[in-house]
Amino acid sequence: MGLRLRFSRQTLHVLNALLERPAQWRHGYSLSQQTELPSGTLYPILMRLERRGWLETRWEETGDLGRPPRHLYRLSGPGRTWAAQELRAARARQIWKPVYTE
Amino acid sequence: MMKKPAEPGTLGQRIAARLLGCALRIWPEQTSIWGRALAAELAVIDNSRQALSWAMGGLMILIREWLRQSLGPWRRPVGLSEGSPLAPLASPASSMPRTPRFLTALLLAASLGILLIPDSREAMRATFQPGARFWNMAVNSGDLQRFRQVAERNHDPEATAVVAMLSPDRAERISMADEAVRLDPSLTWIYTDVPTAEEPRVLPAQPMPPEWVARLENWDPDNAFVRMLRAQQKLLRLEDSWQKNGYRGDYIEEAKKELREDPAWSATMESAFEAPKYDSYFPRKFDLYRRVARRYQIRDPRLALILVTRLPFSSSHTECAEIYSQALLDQAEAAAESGRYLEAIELCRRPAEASQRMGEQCHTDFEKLAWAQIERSSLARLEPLLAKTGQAREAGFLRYRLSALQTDFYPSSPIRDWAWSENGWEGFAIRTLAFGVLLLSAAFLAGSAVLLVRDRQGAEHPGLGFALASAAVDYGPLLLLLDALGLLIAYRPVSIMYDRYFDWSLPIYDFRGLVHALYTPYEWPEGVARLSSQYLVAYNYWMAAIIGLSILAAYIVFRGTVGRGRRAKA
Repeated sequence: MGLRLRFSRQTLHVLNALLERPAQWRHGYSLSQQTELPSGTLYPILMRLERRGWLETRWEETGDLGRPPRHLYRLSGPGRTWAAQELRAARARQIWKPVYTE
Repeated sequence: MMKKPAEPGTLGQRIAARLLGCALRIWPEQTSIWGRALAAELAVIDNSRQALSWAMGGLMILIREWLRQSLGPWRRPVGLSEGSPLAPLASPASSMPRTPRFLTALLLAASLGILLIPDSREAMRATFQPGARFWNMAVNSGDLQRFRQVAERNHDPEATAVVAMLSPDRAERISMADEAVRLDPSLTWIYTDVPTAEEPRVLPAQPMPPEWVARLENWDPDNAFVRMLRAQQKLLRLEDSWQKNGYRGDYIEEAKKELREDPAWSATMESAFEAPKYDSYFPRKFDLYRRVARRYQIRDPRLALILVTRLPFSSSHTECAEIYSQALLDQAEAAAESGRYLEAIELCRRPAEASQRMGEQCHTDFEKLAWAQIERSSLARLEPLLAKTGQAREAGFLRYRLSALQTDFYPSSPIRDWAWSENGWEGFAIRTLAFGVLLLSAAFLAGSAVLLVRDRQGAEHPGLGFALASAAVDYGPLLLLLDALGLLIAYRPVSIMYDRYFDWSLPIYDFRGLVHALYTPYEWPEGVARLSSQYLVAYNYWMAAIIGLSILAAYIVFRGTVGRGRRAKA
């Protein structure tokens, strides 16, 4: 049996936000605003998801943006399946519900 | 190549950018990409408060990554390097601890062995015994238990006398003193070393039972000290009533007046000044303690320290001598004013000769100082009288004697303060190492408990708590061994000095070396002494250690439970 992530409510919020438009790349700040999580909470979650291979990351295309390129995130294929299962299970066990609407 | 974050406009944004810029420079290499990701987001945050909050979050992640990196090795199985492809195959349960159990047991056994050596035990005891501060070193009843047992079992008068001198219980002190003297009348001197106040103090100010004074006079009738003890009783009674009346009035002047007007008191002091010998019995108590401790193989430096630093006979016998000398000198002045120079000279000679004789026979600096001061004031009056009556040769001798008199053994100066923190760093080292023994033992036990609990719970995720517990179990025994060794080495000079005093075959009159050595565990480096006396006491060490470790253990053990409870509630 492999290692499992600990499902905090914050993690479930992040997964939910990423699952809304799974194919779209998201920025850290927009995720933070949507989930209302501060950077100190959000990034460790993203780092853990990425370590498990459930999060894809890339840097923004470097153009003449006048600012440094930003890091982008979206769930990987297995990550989407896993996230959907976990969110369903969490809702079924009534341990989590979305607190925000877009 | 990444571009540097643009320098945003507002002060808050600039500070946030600067903070994250600094953080990026020291971010661990393995996760530096996340630091850069955080910094890049700042460019799109146009609110100062949010930018600062974002940067603070980044700093928290930086700290977390530092911890993760430093504790990383403990989260891997033994012999597995970072990034090894074998990592997923290793069972999490096998990842801790890394030190083989036999080595851990060996280190713990060696540490225990060192801590069981009497020197180490004494160092620990000196640090953690409650109330173990110099001036209020109360003797706990339990400390005396071995002396009490051998005294009762063997009807040993000397052991009984030791209990009488050190017991915290006044009734026991008095009854044991009487018993010791009944068994061996040559111990009658111990009456002068048995504090009669309810609580033994450095200078008890309570009169001695009258029958004790009478017994002392019968036993050692030629001793000026014993004669002065009788005169001292009146002064102590005056002092006692002054304390009971709420310290009202000018006690010193009133006491002086009353004593000088009392013919019986003056006669007693006169006989004391004429006594052929002076012996305050000071060295006898250590000799007595030493004999008993040797006989029954009891080793307790703290009791020895308390014994030699306490002056139960009180300073007021020398105060009586001072008052009586002053009375004689005042009479001399009156006689000189009326032209009776020979009478004046005779009156000045009496305190001068008595104080010189007693000063030569006493053993403590405290007494030497008191007698030297009386001699100085007497000679200062005598010298001009001799010069005036044509005795120039003797006056010249007195001038020389006056210049040679030492009346400032313990001047109030920084040098004296320095002397008491001479071994400050050694004392600090002993206490810190003793505290380290406690802390490391507690950390090892807490770490073992955490690993055991987590193992039973079947925890699958080795988090930070798991890594900390593992570090405590892995490094605790080795550090404990080093700490115990350090404690033994730091305390060794104290122990050597105690042994020298203890094994010296001749009578000892100077206890300064012993006191300085035994006082070392209670000393602090200059400058922190004031702070230490208020806050850095053993009780606070214990409380800080217990509270801190309890919080840590509770957090580690119950974190998972609380988290599950919260999720369930949500």
